[in-house]
Amino acid sequence: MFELDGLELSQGGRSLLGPLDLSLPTAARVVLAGPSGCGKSTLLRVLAGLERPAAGHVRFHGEPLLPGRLPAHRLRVHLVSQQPLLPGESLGEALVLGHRLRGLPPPDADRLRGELAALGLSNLSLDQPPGGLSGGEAMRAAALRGLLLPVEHLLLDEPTTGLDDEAAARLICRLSDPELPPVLSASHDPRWWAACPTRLEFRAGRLHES
Amino acid sequence: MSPESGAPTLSWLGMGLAFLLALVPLILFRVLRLGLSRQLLVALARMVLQLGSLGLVLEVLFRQDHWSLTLLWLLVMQAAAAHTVLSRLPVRVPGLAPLVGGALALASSAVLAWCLLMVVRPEPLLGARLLIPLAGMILGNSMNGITLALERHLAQLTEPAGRREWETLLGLGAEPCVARSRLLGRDLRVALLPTLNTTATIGLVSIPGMMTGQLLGGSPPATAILYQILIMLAILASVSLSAWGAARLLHWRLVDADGLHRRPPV
Repeated sequence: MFELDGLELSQGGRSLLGPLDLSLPTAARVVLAGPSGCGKSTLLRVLAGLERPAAGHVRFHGEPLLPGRLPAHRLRVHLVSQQPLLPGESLGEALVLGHRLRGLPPPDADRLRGELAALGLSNLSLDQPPGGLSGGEAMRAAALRGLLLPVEHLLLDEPTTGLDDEAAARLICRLSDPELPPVLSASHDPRWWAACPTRLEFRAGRLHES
Repeated sequence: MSPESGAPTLSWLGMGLAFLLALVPLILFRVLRLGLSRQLLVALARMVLQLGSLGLVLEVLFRQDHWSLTLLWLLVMQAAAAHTVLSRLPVRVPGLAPLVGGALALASSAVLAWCLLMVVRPEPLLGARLLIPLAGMILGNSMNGITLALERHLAQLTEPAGRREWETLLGLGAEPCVARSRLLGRDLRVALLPTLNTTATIGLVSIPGMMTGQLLGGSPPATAILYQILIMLAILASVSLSAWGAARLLHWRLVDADGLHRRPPV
């Protein structure tokens, strides 16, 4: 669970958001909605430990994200970004890069193939270079890479945007698995909103539950 | 033959005729309208001026042959090499100059010390005739290696594609030092590739500069070859050490212990 203490976000010197003092709900799936440029993505990046806030603090399960603690935090929280990158010689390698970097045993090839099929990606081979994937395929592959990681919280930035209805439905179904850690997301997509029990709206630099 | 060296002395008239060779590219440039004539003339003028000054310095250094003067000139060479590296980088990174200078000086000095103390053991140890050319070869190559490594490291951390990959690695849970090793590995690869290529093909086509010098100076081929092997080994060691060190220090300037870019972003 994330708590924000006087959190202020800025981008390129421009103030985006805040100060925010609140606890983000820990429901299974929470979506942040609001106009483009209101700071949703930046908030997710700060919560993921990939960016520092302009002011204030974030606490995760009561522990403040202080300088020097972010690498440990990033083992517990993973952000699937909006335009994900899939480094690796092959798709199979790209999907388990997080496991390799963490020194964990990676899921086996059968599991990966099963997961790809569940997301409507059975046309992809684990041996193919990940550079050739379309935007929608890369988004789903990156989401898969993230949900395979043993983290305590998943953050998703526009997970279904740009996906056709079938691909979006498959991803939503997979992300609704009760076995998964809680998901906090930012999205414009009503299809994803419908799958999220809790929706928070950004209005005038504040968050309102809707 | 001159009394001092094995090479025939060049007369002023001979040198004048040598400069006629410059007419070949000049005429070609003119005929093909390449617009490079001015650049060539400036380059030639710089060459004459720089080598002329070096000649004067070396005259003094070799005549005095005092260790303090030799070491002073070594420092000047190292500073000039560091300055060249910094001037070639696409962006200015505040505070980088002493780090690059330090990496270059430490790596090249350590390798030079090994060559002099352990391998050659000349008398006197810091004689200019051996130290200056040896240092020149090591520094020239290290300078190029560091430049390549730093350019690559900057691209990997400051250009949009590189930044995204860096964040992807961190976001997947990579410890900053693990992610850094991946980047440094690539830096070292590009830094060493030219030296590796030279090492693998040396002697097949070109006879390297120092060996040419020694052969002209009257050394037996066997000695010249042994020295050339020493030089290549020293270059490999110095390039890898200095390129790795400089890229590692640049990384520290750009990124903090959490792996995030320092403010203000470079």
